[in-house]
Amino acid sequence: MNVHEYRAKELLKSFHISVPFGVCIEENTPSAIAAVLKAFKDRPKVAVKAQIHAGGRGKGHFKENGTSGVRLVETEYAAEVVADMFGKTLVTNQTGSDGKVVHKVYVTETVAVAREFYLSLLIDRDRQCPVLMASDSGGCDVETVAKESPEKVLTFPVDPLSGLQPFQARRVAYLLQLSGEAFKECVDLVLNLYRAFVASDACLIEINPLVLTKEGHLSALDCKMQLDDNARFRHDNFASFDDPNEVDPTEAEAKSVGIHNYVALDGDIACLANGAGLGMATLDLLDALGGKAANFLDIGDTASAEQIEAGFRILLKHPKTRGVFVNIFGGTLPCDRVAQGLISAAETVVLRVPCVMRLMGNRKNEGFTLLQRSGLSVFATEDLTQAVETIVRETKAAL
Amino acid sequence: MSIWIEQTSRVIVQGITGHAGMMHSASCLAYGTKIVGGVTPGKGGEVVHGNVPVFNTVAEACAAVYPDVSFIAVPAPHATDAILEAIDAEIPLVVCLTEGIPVHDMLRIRRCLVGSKTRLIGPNGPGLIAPGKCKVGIIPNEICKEGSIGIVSRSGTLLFEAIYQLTSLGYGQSTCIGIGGDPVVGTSFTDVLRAFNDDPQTEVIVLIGEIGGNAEEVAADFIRQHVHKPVVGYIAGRRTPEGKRMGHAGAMIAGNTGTALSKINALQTAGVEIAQNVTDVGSIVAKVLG
Repeated sequence: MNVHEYRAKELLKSFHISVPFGVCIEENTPSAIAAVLKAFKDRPKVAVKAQIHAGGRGKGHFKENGTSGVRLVETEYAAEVVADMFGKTLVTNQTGSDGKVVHKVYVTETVAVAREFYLSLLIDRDRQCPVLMASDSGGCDVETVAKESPEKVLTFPVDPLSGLQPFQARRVAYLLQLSGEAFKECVDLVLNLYRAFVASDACLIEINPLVLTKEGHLSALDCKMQLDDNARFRHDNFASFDDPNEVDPTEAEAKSVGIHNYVALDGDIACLANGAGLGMATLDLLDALGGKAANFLDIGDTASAEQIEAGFRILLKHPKTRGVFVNIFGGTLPCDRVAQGLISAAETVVLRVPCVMRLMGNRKNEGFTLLQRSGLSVFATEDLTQAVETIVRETKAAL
Repeated sequence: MSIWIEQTSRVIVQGITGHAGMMHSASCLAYGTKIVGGVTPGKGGEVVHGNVPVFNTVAEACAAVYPDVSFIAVPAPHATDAILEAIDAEIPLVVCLTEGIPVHDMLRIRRCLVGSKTRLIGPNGPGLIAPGKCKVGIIPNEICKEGSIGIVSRSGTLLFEAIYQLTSLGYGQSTCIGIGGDPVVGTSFTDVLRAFNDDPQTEVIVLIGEIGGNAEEVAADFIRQHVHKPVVGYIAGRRTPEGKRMGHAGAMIAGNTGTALSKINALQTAGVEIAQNVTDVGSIVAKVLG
């Protein structure tokens, strides 16, 4: 789960990592904006930063007027710039061409920058351990730096049992060629960052840039953070990081009924499967046989009748749905529960589009019987290839 | 011979008195698995399924019923503790089905496994079955048949799909294993390939991978260097857009790594026969067996 910059910085601050002073504005009214800007009245300039769950905001542009998602402005004009960002669509190299609408704007003090660095902690699944990355070329894309001049990037694994050690933090400080107070600050910062990483169940904390100010202190100018959704059960504060504006509305609806795996895609056949692997294989097969998935809902192996019914309702009323394809290989999950889910959903949402159900495994015959008795026009089979061919053909025919 | 479990395996179930624990242990018992005990803190002294004793701790269970496998069916908030308890008790094989264990916990567990007496299969997988002998997990009993194909898959349902296709075509299996869909798991493709390669019962290996990470590429390297048996492969997620998490936390393409194409290329270079669609797995195995 992604975290907004302003929340990520609050979290860093709570681990004694220095960040520029800033306030997030969540309401686009002159009074709300003025109230926040009052705190900056003694400063000649401020940074105004659009808050969306994507990087590259500084180099990105608003669809409406071409301006950047991060702007340094004179404080007297800040109110105008803030108000102007609200509701506009920011396109960056990470948002895709649709861009993302800005609902929050963060105002921070400006910092006199002497040098810029890169610092991150992430989980490297290939090495199966946390990895620290640091570079004295901050502010730019670290992957490019790593490719073009690998000697500029320091990367080392961290033992998850003993944790990040002071000698490792010193390696970072030496790489960044810091001395005196700044050296000590850097060692503390790296150790604190690792504490934040573990204590917050983060998958990624990236400070880019980390800057050395002209006054000789370190400050985290920008921060990208991803937290592990699986750790929600032990973090009461995770819910407060959720931003409903950043979630696809269908995905949010699926989550509200306890279905956590919904992926929006760009075709027209809505897909429901039990299991992520089976779902992906279904999308591949659809594609191979000439169809395109609108989305993919994974109900897992333990979904209740109510969850399945809600899942079908979500798919049936989705505006892009021109066909519904179901692929179930019941291990624990009984196929008749899935069939009943569709039948119940069709009582409240009319089944206007072609629907094909492939049922296999646990109680498949009971599932077929239920569908037959329902009188719904659903093609049901245990043959996966035949099922996919049918939904592709019928969806095309119905257009 | 099957790998890692056999007819004589003595299994305990951690979390046996819970809903999932009762349901799955009943299915394993029905298959003939020797479930010699269960563990649920606070329920020690109870008896379930007619004659299976419940213990408060894994250590007590070990002292009383000498298990060599622990099947963990506890919810995510308690699963890390359960796995560490089983490692501490030096149980040789631990099979964990639990979905949703935090990745930082799995990193610590991986380190605890190094130098321990335990192999962990999972989490977030269906477990394993040696058809006709023993089942630890949730693979449907009726789709399996004893034979000579070894199957390993990241995904549970795709494992079922492959087993079903092979059984329908008359090909039985030596052992079928789901290693789990999480980014950090206890047992890798390579671990399973090594075991199948050494297993006299296994004649053909089926490997079912998916996008994300580099486990399939590492497996391809191992196959090229060490595996002398034919391998058939399928990779799910060829049509998955970059950056989307496809349900399995592990299945995500980041940058240019972890794509289906890179995995398919690596496997083909290692001599693996690739099934283009999941529905072709059975027929490709048939082709390989001539």
